Amino acid sequence: MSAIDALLQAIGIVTSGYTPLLILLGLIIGIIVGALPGIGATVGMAILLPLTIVLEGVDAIIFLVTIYNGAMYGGSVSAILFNVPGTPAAAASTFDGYPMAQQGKAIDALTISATASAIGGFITQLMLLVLIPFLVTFILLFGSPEYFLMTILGIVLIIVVQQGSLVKGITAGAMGLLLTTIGIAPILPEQRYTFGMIVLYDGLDFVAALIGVFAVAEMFLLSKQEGGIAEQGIELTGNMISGVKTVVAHPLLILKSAVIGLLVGTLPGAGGEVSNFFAYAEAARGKVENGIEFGEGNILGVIAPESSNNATVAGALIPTLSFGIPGGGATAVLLGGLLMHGIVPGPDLFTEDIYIPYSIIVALLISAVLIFVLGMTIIRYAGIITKFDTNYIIPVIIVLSILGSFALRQNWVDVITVLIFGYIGYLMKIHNYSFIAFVLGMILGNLAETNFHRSLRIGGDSPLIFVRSPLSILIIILILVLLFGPYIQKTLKSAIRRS
Amino acid sequence: MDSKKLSIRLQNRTEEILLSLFFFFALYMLIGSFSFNNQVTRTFPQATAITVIVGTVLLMVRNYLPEPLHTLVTDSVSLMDSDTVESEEIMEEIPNRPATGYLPIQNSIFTALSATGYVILGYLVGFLIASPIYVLFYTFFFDTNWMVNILLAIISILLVYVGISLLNLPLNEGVLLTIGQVVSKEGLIL
Repeated sequence: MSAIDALLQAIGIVTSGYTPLLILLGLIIGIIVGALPGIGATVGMAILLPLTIVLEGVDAIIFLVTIYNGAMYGGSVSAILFNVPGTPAAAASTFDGYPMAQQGKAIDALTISATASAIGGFITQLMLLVLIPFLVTFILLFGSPEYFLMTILGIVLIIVVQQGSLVKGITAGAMGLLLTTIGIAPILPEQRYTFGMIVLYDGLDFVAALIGVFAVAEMFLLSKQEGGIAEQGIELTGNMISGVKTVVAHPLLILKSAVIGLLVGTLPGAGGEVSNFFAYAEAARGKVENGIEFGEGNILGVIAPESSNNATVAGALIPTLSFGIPGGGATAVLLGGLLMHGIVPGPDLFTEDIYIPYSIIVALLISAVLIFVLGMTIIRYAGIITKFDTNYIIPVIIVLSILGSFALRQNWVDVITVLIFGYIGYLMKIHNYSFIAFVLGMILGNLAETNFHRSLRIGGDSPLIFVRSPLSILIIILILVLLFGPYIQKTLKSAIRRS
Repeated sequence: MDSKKLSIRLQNRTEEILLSLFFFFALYMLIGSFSFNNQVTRTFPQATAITVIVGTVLLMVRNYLPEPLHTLVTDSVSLMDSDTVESEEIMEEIPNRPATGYLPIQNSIFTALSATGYVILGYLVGFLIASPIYVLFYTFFFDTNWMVNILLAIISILLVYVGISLLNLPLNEGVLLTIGQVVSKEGLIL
C-alpha cells in the first residue's frame, strides 16, 4: 500500500461514521480529566479503556489518543487559574500563567494556552505525517532478537528516567514480566500456574492491572488530599483576541518549542513532564518581553511550554507504535489499548497496516484544530471543573474502574485483579517503586517471551543470536550504559573531587 | 512514641509487606516452573522469578549490606539528576489526614477498605444496588453536601444501567440477589 493510498484511507476512516464524534468526545473528556489535579490523562484513559471494547480497533485508539491530547491542554487550566498544574506536563505553565491570572489577564493566558497548544500540536503532527515513510525503513531493520532487546531497553529506560533505586525498578519490571507467565504459554500450549481454572487460561488481564495501578491506586493516594483546588473564586478577566494575536506574533518560538516537544517525546520514559520544562528554559534564555521578566507574567513563558506539551503527543507515538515502548503512563495505557484491539506495534503496523498510524495522526490534526475551538468556548467556564471536591471524584472513578474491569471478560478474576493491583500500585507509589516499569512488564511480557523464543529458534537455540547484528549489539550497549552509567559517573566524580 | 516515628515505622512495615509478597510469589512460581514439561516454557518464568527473588532479598537486607553494595541497591538513578541520591529521601511527603467522620482512620485506608467493601457487596447483591450504596457511604463519611451525594449516587446507577443495556453486562446480578424484575434488557419495568 503506498503512503498516499494509506493517507487517503486514513482520511476516509477519520471523517466517516461516528469517528468525528469520538474525537470530539475524547477531547472533551481529556480536557476535563487534565484539568483535575490527581486525575490526568492516564487515569482517564485507564478507566475508559475497557469501554472501548465496543469500538473498532482504530476508533478505539483514536478515542484514547485524543483523550491524551486533550489532557495535555486541560492541565493548563488549573495551572493558570490556581497555580496547580492539572498534569505534570503543565507544571512550567504555572510560572508565568498564574502571575498573568493574578494581574487580571487570566483570559489572555488561557487563550494563549489554547492557541499555542493547537498550533504546536498541529505542526508536530504534520511533521510526523512526513516522517512516517522514513520511519518504516528504520523499523524494518528490527527482527525478533532486536524486538526482545527493545523490550528490555524500554523497561530499563523507564526505570532510569524516573526517580527511584535501580534495584527497585528492576524488581518491579521483572515482577510485571513474571505475572504474564500465568496462563497458557505463548510458544507451546502448556498451562502455567492456572490451578486448572479456565478463567486463568488467558492469564491476568493487563488492562485490569493497568486500571488497578493507574486509576484505583491513584484514588487511594488522592484521598490523602482534601477538598478541591479552588478555595475561592477567580475572576476571569482579559482579552481573547489579544491572546490569539500574541501567539501568532511569535511563530519561531512556537516552532522551536514544538520541535523540543517532538524530540523529547520520542525519548521513552520522558514526555510532557520533561518537555515543558525544556521549552520554558529555552525560551527564558531569550529576551524579556515588554519589560516583564520570566516568572512575573511573561507571555513567552506560557507560549513555550504549552506549544511543547501538545507537541510531545506526536513524539511519544513514535516509540510506542514502532517498538511498543511507551513514553510514560498515558502511552503505556495507549499501548495496552493497541494490544487489546489486536494492533501490534512493529513492522506490520508500518507496512500492511500503515493506514492505522496515518489515521491516528489525521485524528490528532483534527483534534489540534478542535482544541483551539473548544479552548475558546470553555474559557469562561474553565474554573468550574477545578472546584470539584476530590471526595466527589474518588468514588465515581472507583465505580468506573470496577465496572470497567468487569466489562473486560465478565469475570470476577479481573475485578479482583483491579483491587489487588490497586493495593500493590499504592504501596509501590508510596515506596518509590517504578510502577510504570511494573505495568510495562505486564503489557510487554508475552511479546518479550515470544520474541525471545522465536529468536532462539532462528539462532538454533544459541544465545549468540542476540549479538549477531550491529543493531542488537548497539541496543545491548545502550542497556548496559543506562544500567551502570550513573554509578560509573558518580565514581568518576568522586575520584575527581578527591584528586 | 510520637506520631511521626509511628508513621515511619508503619511505612517501613508496608514496604516489608510489599517485598514479602513479591518474594513469596516469585519463589512459588520458581518452584512451580520445575513441574512444566518443556524447557521452553520454563525459561522465562525462571529467569524473571530469579530476578525478582534476588531484587527483593537485596532490598529487604539493604540496611545490613556493606557500603558499596548498599549504595548500589539504594541510590536513585535518574537521567534527570546529575548526582545519584538516596531513594528514601525522594519519597513524596503528602500529609495523611485522618478522615472527617466517625472512625479515626486515615483517608487512604478508608478509601481502600471501602473500595474492597464495594466489590464484596457487588458480588453479593449486584452492582446496581452496591454502587449507589458505596457512593452514598463514601461521600457521607466525608460529610459532603447531601444533594451532591444523591446526584452522584444517581450517576452511579446510570453508569451501571449503561453497562447493562449497552454492554449486556449482568451488573444487576449478585450471588444473594438479582434485580431481574426491575431491570430487563429492554429497559426499566415500572
